[in-house]
Amino acid sequence: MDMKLLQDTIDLLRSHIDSGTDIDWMEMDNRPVRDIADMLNAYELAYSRKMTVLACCMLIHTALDRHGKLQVQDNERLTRMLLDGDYLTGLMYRIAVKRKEWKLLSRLLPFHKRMQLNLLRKVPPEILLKELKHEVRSYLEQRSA
Amino acid sequence: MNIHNRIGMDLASFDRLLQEVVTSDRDLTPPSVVLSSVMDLINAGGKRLRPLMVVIGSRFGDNDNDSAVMKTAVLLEYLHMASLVHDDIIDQSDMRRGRPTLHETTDIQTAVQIGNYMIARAIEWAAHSNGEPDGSSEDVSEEEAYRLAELAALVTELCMGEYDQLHHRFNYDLTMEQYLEKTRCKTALLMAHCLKAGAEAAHADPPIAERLFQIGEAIGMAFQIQDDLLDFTKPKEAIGKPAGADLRNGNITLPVIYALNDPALAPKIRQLGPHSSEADMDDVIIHITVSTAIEQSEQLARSYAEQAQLMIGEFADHPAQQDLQALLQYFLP
Repeated sequence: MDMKLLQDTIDLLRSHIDSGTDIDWMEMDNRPVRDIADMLNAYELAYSRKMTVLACCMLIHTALDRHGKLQVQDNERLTRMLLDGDYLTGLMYRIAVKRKEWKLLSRLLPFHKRMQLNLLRKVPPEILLKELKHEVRSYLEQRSA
Repeated sequence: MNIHNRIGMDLASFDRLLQEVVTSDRDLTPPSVVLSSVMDLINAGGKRLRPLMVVIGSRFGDNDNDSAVMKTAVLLEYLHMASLVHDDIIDQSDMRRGRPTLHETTDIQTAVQIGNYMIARAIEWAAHSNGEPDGSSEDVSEEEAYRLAELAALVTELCMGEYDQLHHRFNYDLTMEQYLEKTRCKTALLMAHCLKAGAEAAHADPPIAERLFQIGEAIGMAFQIQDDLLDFTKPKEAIGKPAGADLRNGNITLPVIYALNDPALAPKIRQLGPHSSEADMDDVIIHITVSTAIEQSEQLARSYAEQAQLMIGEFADHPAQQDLQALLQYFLP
């Protein structure tokens, strides 16, 4: 497990997240994206680009997690979870644009859209994360072809 | 004559374009709750003011790039519609434009995912369609794709306005600066970006696009302050919610900030909280409505409108200046 890539990516994300959001990256469960970090190491890709790919995956995963925790009974918590998910998704667009990764984004956008449709079909999040990994692998394969 | 006719924007054609975004999505197989919900949202109407601002902004460009302008307008309207779906959940609103809100007709989780879908699909469509309602496709340049994705990233700014509102719920020590920043993020920035994005889509000179951004921001601030005022001054039937609904939800708006300067009224306001009775709320809201806070708020709205007017005056020789003037008059008659 390459903890450096993971930690550097977390630092990158923390530097982009506005302090007014209260989103604490240290509280996030990053275990589901560690597989993707490992996979990235098997490919020839500049380190900073690996960070961008991993950052986008972490943002998708965390937004998915936040939007999956909407509790109707507690409006304040619901609001926070909803805003966190929206903010993190918007941040994925921002980081991909800032780091000039349109090809990556053009892969992740349709995936993100289909992910919403799959969630509505009650596809479990674990399956969606496997699909995300598959999508990233396909992007990396295409790049190295 | 309504504003769209004055500007020469065909609303029916624009709505067909909005519909085309979902009807052309091959990942949607009818019957689909997503398809029917998004079509319902479009058919519920709306003033389409943000697309209108995009079109006006584009008239300051030197390139008749109608496809890029329309894609920008569609994307920003989808962003606005999706944010309303999520805002209605946060505000626990059950009606919008005379119809039940999406989370009422479906459920909260479904409405959240449909809102997410709308933004992702709108960028996907804008990046691959040629901006015509016939569903034909044509990939945009990488530069154009970045511009579109950057607009989608505006979601983060809209969220900051909502976070501010959440953090300052029933916070009567909210400063004027904090209120203005919240208002800027929540409303003014998107309007500012609409004018600027239209100009950029039409390849306007960057300083012109920047000035249009500032005009949009000033109009947006004035518009939101007026909206805050309407919450106190318009009868329930006119705005579809009880008077003072913002304060009842703990949202501290400009009239409340000014009213807190009144030594007689301040203690009454400060005693209000999430568990206050309707009668206590009603009493304070009536006092605010007849206080000088209303006139003071109107004055600040006017001052933003005057700022916008001054900047619009700089375009005196430009043929599209009259469109900006019409926009300002529409928002701030």
